[in-house]
Amino acid sequence: MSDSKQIKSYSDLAGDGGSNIMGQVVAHKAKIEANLSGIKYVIAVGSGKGGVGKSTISMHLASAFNRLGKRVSLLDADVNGPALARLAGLTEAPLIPGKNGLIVPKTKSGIGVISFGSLVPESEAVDFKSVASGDSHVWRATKEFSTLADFLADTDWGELDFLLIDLPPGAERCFQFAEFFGHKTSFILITIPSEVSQGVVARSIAAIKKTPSPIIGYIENMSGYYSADSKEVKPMFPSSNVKLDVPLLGSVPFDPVVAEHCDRGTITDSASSSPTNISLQDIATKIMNTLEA
Amino acid sequence: MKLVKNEAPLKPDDHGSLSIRYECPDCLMEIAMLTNAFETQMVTSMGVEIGGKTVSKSQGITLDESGNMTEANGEPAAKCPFSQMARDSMMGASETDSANTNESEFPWTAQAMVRLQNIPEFARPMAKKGIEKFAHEKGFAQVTEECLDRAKEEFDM
Repeated sequence: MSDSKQIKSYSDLAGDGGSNIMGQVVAHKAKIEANLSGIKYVIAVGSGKGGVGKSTISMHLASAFNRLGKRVSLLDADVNGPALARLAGLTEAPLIPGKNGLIVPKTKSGIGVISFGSLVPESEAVDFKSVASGDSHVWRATKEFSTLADFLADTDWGELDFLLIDLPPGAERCFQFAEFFGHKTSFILITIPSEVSQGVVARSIAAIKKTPSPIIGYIENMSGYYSADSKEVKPMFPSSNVKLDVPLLGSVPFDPVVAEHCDRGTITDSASSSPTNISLQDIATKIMNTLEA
Repeated sequence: MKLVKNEAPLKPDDHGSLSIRYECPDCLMEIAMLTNAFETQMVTSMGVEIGGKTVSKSQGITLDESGNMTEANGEPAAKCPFSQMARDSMMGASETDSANTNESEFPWTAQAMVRLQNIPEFARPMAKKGIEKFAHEKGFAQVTEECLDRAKEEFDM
């Protein structure tokens, strides 16, 4: 027997020392797919740009779908800047282990919300245990995705018409989430009228288009300022020359009264007569019609 | 070469590296196998378990046909002693974290604990704390499935 036969080569090793890492990854993906099988439409709400109202619009759209009689839940995928728990008034939501996973906390109107804002107080940073000390930039993003995967796999989502996923900022993150959620998840992008924002959103659209995930369209948030006194909507930004290559679903004016409800976690109680809510209700109907066409 | 047992449980050093020592019985020369802390962290960050996905005493709970907790089979998942030791040490380290521990001053039935283990790991500490507070307030002597279902009803979920 030659020397080369006495020493095992890498390819002689059975798997990866028994860890079967790829097997675990595949099994987890299959579990997620099975757990989401009762959901009719999964929609990711992204932008690329921060501070344009992704979370607020997500919550409003959920309310609008809810008013249309649809079963809807939200997943806050912004691990580091979770806002949905506060917007939904669920910062102290009870977390109860059910027969089929974590029971989704719900608003009074029945909208389910899973948010890190219900898990970690606003006074604390979201932190993960680690073996390696320092240099968290090496592994942190991977850990965040695997934690989100846990929430997809081990939460009792049940039967839903819509699961809305509120994404964190970052054009490249849109691409990562498109790959993470797969082609069955549709995207809606949020922008404000400024060219700065629309430039970033254009980049996000280009990133998502590299994947099979469909983009339903974009929403122009803060399209104007609504004054309840004068009943007028006045422009907040100069018109933009940036063209976005996806359908415009609608424009949403800023109403300070609705914004107050956002801070209080009472969006669902905000006046339906506000132009903000009227616009979002129209957009929700348009989204539903687009998906069901 | 033979495996020299490290002092159990194997602990990561200050930089997060694990090491296992081998010793030649004739010349007593020692060789250490070291983990790259970043690689270990990257793999665990993927949500997978080094050494394989098995139910062990430290990791989870199995129930017999009548619903009673049984001892986990303890069969090592890893064929490689190094990955098995790395796995054991990782489990040992995580047991010190209240996020994963099955130990509690407030008792849980096995069935209720299985439910807790089946929710996302990140949510377990807060869920556990909240449920124990609820159980205490409602006069439960231990957290049972009935207690969990009662909490679900009372919080209108």
